[in-house]
Amino acid sequence: MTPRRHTYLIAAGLLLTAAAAAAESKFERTVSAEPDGIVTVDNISGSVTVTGWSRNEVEVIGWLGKGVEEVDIDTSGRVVDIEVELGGRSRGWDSNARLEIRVPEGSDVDIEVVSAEVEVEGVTGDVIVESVSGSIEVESRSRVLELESVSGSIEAEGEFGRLDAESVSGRVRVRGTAEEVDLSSVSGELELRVDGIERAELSTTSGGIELDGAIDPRAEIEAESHSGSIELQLSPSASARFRVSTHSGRISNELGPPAKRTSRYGPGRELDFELGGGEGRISIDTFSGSVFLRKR
Amino acid sequence: MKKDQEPHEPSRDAIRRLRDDPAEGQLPRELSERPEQDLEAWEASDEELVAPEWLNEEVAKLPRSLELPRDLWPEIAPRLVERSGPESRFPWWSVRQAIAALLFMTLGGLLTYLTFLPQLNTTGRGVAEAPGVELSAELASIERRADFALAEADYLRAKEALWSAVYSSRDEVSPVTREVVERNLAVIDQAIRELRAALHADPGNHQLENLLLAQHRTEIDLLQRLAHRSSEI
Repeated sequence: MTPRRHTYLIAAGLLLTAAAAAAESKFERTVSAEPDGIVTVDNISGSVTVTGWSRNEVEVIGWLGKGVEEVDIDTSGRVVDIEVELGGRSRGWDSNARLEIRVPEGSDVDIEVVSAEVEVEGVTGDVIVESVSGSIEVESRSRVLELESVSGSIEAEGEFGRLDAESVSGRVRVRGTAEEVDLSSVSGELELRVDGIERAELSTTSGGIELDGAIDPRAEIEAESHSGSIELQLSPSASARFRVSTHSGRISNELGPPAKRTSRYGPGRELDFELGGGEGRISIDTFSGSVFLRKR
Repeated sequence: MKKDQEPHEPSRDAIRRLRDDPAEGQLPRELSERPEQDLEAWEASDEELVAPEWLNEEVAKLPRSLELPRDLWPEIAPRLVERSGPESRFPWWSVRQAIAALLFMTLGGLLTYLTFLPQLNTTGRGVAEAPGVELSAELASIERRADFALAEADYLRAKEALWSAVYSSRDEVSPVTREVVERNLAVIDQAIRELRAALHADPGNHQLENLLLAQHRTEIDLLQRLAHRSSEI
C-alpha cells in the first residue's frame, strides 16, 4: 500500500467516525432514588453500563444513535424505570443507544436488552439481566443474580447467594463464591471457578461443563450433559458421595476407584464411591460426553 | 391421523374382555383397577384425536401479541412428578398405540401366565414361587413405561403449541438470533434422536429416559424464551 493510499484510508476512517458521532445525540438526566430501590433498564441495541455509587440518585448519560427517539425515565415510589424509546420506523435491532447509568449501590437492577452489551459493576442488590445476543458482564456482591442470554456470553464475578444463568450458545463463566448455582446451556460451555457451593445444577446438551472449587461439605451437585464433557476439579479432602454414569462416554477418576461397565455387552460405565465422610452428594450423567474427576 | 388408518389397534373393549373374562377375580387388585384407569385416560385422550381441533384451539388461546406465560413448565412439571417417566418424540397417535400395545401385551401375557400357571405348578417346572411378586414387578414396569409415554405426550403438546407461537412470530426475531436458535434446536433434535435410538436398543433404561426428558425440557425452555423475547421486539 502506498503512503498516499494509506493517508486516504485514515482520512476516510476519521470522516466516518466523525459522521457517526455527529449522528448521535447526548442525553443526561439525574433523578433521586431510594438507597435500596429498584432500577429497571430497557434498551434493545447498543450498550448498557450500570455502576453502583454511594449517592441516592440515579444518573443516566446516554448517546442516542440511529433509530432512537428518546430515553424515558419514570420514577414511581422505589422504582426508577429507564427505557430507550425507538422511532416509529425502527425495527429495534438496527437501533443504537449507549447508556451509562449510576445507581445507589444497594439497588436491585433489572435490565432487558436484545443485542446491547451489558456491564454491571459495584451493585449489592439483586441483579437480573436478560439479553438475546449481547454479552453480559457482572461484577457484584448480590444475594440473587439471574442472567439470561441466547448467543451472548455471560461472565459473573463476585459473591452471590443464588446465581441462575441460562444461555443457548453463549459461554457462561462464573468466578468467586456462590451458595446456590443453576447454570444451563445448549451448546455453550459452562465454566465455574467457584467456592462455597452448597447446591448446584449444571446442564448442557453439547456444551462442556467445568467446575473447579471448594464445595460445602454437604453440597449437592448435579451435572448433566448429552454429548458435552464434564470435568470436576475438587480437593481430595472434599466429602461427598459420587454417582457417575455415562451411556457411551468414558470416565476418568483421579479421586477414587475406576469406573465399571454397567453391562457386559453395552458401552455404559458407572461409578459410585465416597470421598471423605461422604456427606455431600455429587451426581453426574451424560449420554456420550466424557467425565473427568480431577484432584485440585 | 384418523382412527380408521390404524386397523391393528386393539379396541378398549377387547382389552377389557381380556382383562376381565379369564381372570374372573383372580387378578390382583392393582391389576384389575389400574388398567381401567389407563383405559379411561386413553378414552379421554382419544376424544382429542377424534377432534383434532384440540391443538388448534390450544394454540388459538395464545394471545396474538405472544405474551405467553413466562414459564409454562410449572404447569407441566407437577404432572411429571406424579408420574415417574419421561418422553420421546412420537406423534400423539403413536403414543396411544404404544400404550395400547403395552396394555394389550401385558394383559395377554398375564392371561397366558394365569392360564398355564396351574399346569406349570403341577409339573414343577413353572415359577411356583410368589407369582404375585413377579406380577407386581411386571406391572410396575409396564405402568412406568406407559407413564413415560403419557408424560412424553405432555411435552409434545407443550412443544407443539410453542412451535406454533414461535413460527407465527419468526419474522419478528432478528435473522442472526433465528439462525442461532435454529442451529441449537438442531443440536437438541440430534440429541433426542440419539437418545431415542439408544432407548430403542435398551427399552426402559431409566438413565436414558431421564436424559431424554432433560432434552425435551431444554427444547421447551428454548422455545419459551424465543416466544417471550420475540413478543418484546
